[in-house]
This record gives sequence, structure tokens and C-alpha cells, in this order.
Amino acid sequence: MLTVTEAIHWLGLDFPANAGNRLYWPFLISALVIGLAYQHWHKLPSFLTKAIWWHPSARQDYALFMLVNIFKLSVLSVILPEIGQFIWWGLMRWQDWLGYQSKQPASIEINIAFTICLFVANDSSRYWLHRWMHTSRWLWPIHRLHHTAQVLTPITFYRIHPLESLLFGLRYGLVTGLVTSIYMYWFGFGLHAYQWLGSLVFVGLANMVGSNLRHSQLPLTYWTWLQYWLISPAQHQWHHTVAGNKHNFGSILALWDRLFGSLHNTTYSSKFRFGIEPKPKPENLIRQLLLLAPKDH
Amino acid sequence: MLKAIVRLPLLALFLTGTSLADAPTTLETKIKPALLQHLYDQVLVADSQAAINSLQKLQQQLASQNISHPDWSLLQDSYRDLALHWKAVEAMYIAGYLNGDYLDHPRYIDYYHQGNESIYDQVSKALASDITLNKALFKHSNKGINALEVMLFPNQPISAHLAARHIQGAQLASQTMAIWLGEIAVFYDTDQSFMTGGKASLSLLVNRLIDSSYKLAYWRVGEAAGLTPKTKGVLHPQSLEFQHAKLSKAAVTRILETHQKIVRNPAAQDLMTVGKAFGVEEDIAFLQARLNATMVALQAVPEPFADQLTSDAYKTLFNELAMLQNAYYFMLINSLNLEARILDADGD
Repeated sequence: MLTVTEAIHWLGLDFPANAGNRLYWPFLISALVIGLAYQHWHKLPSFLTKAIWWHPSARQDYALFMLVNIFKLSVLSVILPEIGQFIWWGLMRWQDWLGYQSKQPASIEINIAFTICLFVANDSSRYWLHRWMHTSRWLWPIHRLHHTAQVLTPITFYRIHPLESLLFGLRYGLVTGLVTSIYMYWFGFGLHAYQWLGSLVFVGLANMVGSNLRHSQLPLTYWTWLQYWLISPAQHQWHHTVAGNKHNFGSILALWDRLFGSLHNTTYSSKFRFGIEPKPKPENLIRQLLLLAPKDH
Repeated sequence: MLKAIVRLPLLALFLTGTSLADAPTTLETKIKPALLQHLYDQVLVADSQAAINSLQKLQQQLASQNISHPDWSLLQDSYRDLALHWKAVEAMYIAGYLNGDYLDHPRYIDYYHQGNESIYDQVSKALASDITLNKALFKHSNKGINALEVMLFPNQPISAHLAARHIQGAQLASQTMAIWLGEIAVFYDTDQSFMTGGKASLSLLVNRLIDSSYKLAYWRVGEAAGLTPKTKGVLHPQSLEFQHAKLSKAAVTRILETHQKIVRNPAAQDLMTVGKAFGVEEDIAFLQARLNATMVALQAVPEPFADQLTSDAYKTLFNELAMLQNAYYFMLINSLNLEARILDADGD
């Protein structure tokens, strides 16, 4: 018999209590504080209205969040290896190809370099997979579900097809396994990735300064110069617009978009219309999960 | 109202931030000096003392022999004692990391798996020649523990003249070894930096365990049976360690026993204790289980190893040793503070 605690866990309702995800409560609170302050400062309409948070699209997000969480715990947890196995696999490959390397203890400098490499490799691979999901005729139908959102809330981050969850999980495993196994090949005991609030320190910092506002109705922009380095919430919101979904694929760093010609700067007055159609219509969630085209297409 | 909404979360954030900054107990504080002292005394100091004592005993026996008609059996027993104590020292050798002056000492004592030269051929030729031994055995590699093995385990019968050359050569080699081994023993006995090194000290031991587990699997067992990428299906019995003294199995046993002293010892001053404090207790327990399984697999292989290279039991031993290395790797991997499951990673 499923207990209440287990049910909460299976539905993902314990995310705010668990470090290591974007919905961890300190990140939600910081987003709320920053959002309210920004809204007050720029005299913007509220981003906390019922019209947004109980919009049919937002309700789809909530349903999908719980559904995908059940899928992750029941299916993906079985078919996807743990991160340690990716790292071990990488270590064995280095050992086979390059011979055994006697390991040195990791110094602070090495651990800082390791943390930076993990962050950069993960952020860039997220950019490329994300971009690929937009440009590939096979992957776009999977990613399309994320872009059919007509309003954005932090839960929209999790509005993804289970196959996308699988792809991003594999990406994380491969990239983290690659970087970590390289470091472990040379450095043994004492290797350490610096974390904050359960996330890699840079990700934790990004989460604390408003990653949850990326999926929100609040067009928070950074200074123009900063938007060349970091993707602001408004830049990501632009990516969710009909006109902008060929831009701003980055997660935290804007560097990749800048280097590969997909960066678009925004201002807080930019007009955003979210979705993939000029005149968006609600789409059936089941059809989207089955990767079927909308009925009138 | 807006102020209240803003203030409350800010207060919560402040409290969270400060408590999280203070909360984690660092690994340094979890490694007790008593634990390091115990490992140092019971493994590093004890083994190096035992090795130098057994070498001195061998030197005394060599000095008291009738060199034309020595008691080979007595000398060979002492050699076995020395060789196995040395294997324990070599497996956990960290003096070179604590002080760079000691980095090369093991290489001057033990030439197993170093270079392509045949110490057996070189030493046999030198002993059979008429050149004075000081000149004939001029190379460092002709005065190490592998050369000593050739000198003390001659092919019988042996002439009185050649026996004398063997014993005199053994005296020369043991004198050279006594210098290096003596310096190691004195260093361990006097240096205190290990006890104050905390995480770094433990890291040295863990790195040695991994290094040693790799060499056990791939050098000491796998290579001879063609089970490694290097030998790929071709038997290579000359890769066995101490094959003339027939100590290949005993050497593996002694090294694994040294691992056990670090991983789990009766005084509970071991990796298991550190693992409990660091949240990787399960990994250490798994490691201990693998060590036990490896010991069982080792006991199942009859001696000498040279006659077992194609047996199933020997292959099982190789697999167990490879899995032991994996267990060490998983202990390291799981002690990393990475997100344990890839499911937490999502798109954007």
C-alpha cells in the first residue's frame, strides 16, 4: 500500500524539500523575492496571478510534471545507469587506451578546475543538445511539447516529453562521466566538485539569482553587456516566443549562443507571445505525448 | 504586505545560507589522528621494520655460511621471509610522497616489471664469469631483490666455485638492499608528517591501494596468462613475480593481507571507520566483500602459479582481482559529491 510520503515522492511533490533540483525551496524563495522586487521596480503587471498559474497550459505543466516524475522513477531509473557507472566506464576506457596511471591526490586547484570543467562541459552540451532538438526533424517533435506552453511558470521547466528526459539524462551521464573519469584517471582520493545547496556551485548560484524566473511571465533582463555572458530570464523567454525559438538555446552561459550565432538580446519591454503558433490553441496533452501532430494540422 | 512577503523569505534565506555554510563536517575532521597513527604504526612502520629485520637475519646467515657448501634451504627460507615483508612495504609505499628524496627507493630494491632486461640471464652470466663480482654485478638491477632470488635459488647441482660466487653475490646484493631498506625503515620510524596530514595522508594510502590492486590483477596475475591487453591470449610465464622462488602466490597473498589491514582491521582504525563517517560505508563493505572473495579465489589456485596459467581457477582469480580494482574505483567515485542519479538532470 502506497503511503502518503511515497505518493508525494512519486508525484515529485517533494522537489522543494530536496536539494539538487531547481525547485528546491531556497531557489523558489529567491526567485520570488527577486521577481517581486523587479516587478515593483519596473512597475510591471504581477506574475503571480491566477490567470497565469491556473491557465490551462500551466495545468498541463503540473499534470506532466507528475506524470514524467512517475515515468522517471518507474522506467528511467531502471534503464538508465547511475552516474557512477558512466564514470567507471570512462575510467576503464582511459586505462585500456593509455595504460594505468598512478593517481595523485587532488589539490584545491585541481578541484576548482574540475568544478569549472564539469560546469562548462555540462552547460555547453546542454546548449548543443537543446539546439539539436530544435534543428533535427526527429527531435523537434519531442521538444515541441516544451514549446507549446502558452504561459510560463517554474514548473514549465519540467514540461518535457519523457524521451527528452531520457536524452538529457544520457547527456548528463556521458558528459559528467567523461569529465570526471578524466580527472579520476589522474587524481584519486580527494577529488571534489564544489557544490552549493545541492547543486554544482555555479548552477546553485544561477539558481539563486533567478533561474526559476526563466520560465515565468516576468521579463527580467540583465544589463546588455551581461547578457552577452549570461542568459537572462528574458532571453530564455524570448526563446519561448513564436519568433525567437531559433535563438538563445543556452542554459546559464550566453557564450555558446554568442560563439555559434544564436544569441538574441532582450529588454524588459520586449513583447513576448509564448508558444509555437502565431495564434496558439490548446493542444491535447495525450496527443503531444504520443508525438502526434495537432488535429487541425 | 509586499514588504512582509519580501522580508520573510529573505530571513529564511539568510538562515538557510548561514546554516548550510556551517553544517557540513569536513572530511578533515572525520579523519582522526589516532586512526592515521594506528595505520602508520601497524602497517608502514611494522612492515618496514619486519623487512629490514629479515634482511639483517639473511645477512647474518650469509656471513656464517660455508660459502662453497651453503645451506640453501636455510637461506631460501630467509629469502622468502624477506621477499614477503618487502611486498607489504612496496604495496603501501608512501615515503616517496612524504619526502621526495625517497621516491626511487623501491625502484632500487625491486626491478619486477621494470624495463625489458632479463635479470635472471644477466645475473646468471655475471656469476658464471671470472670477473670480480663488484664489476660483474655493477648494475643496480643486479643487486636488488630479484637478483638475490637468482643467487639464492640456483639450478642444482651447483659446483663449489659457483656456489661461492652465488653466496658472495648475495652478500653484495643484500648489502646494497640494506642501504635502501634501512633508509626506508628509519624514515618511517622518524617522520611524523603522515599523522598530521589528515585527508592527504589517507589519500596516499587509497592511491596506493588502487595502484596495488591494478598491479595485482594486470602485472602479477593477468599478464602471465595472456589475460591483459598487453599479452592478449599469449602465455607469458616469465611475467610471474618470484617464479624461481615459487613465491608468486605468496606475494599476492601478502599484498592482499596488507590491503585488509588498511580496509578493515581488528582495532577498527581503518577505511571502514572513515567510510562510516563519510557516508560511503556500503562501498567499503562491498570492498571488503570483494577482498574476501579474492582471497577465496586465491586459495583455490594451487601452487605454483606457473602450472595454473590456463586453469579456470586462475582466470577466476584474475577476474576477482580486476573486480577488486573496480571496487576501489567505485569507492572513490561514490565519495564524490556528484548528483548520484542522472534523473535529476533535465532540459531547458
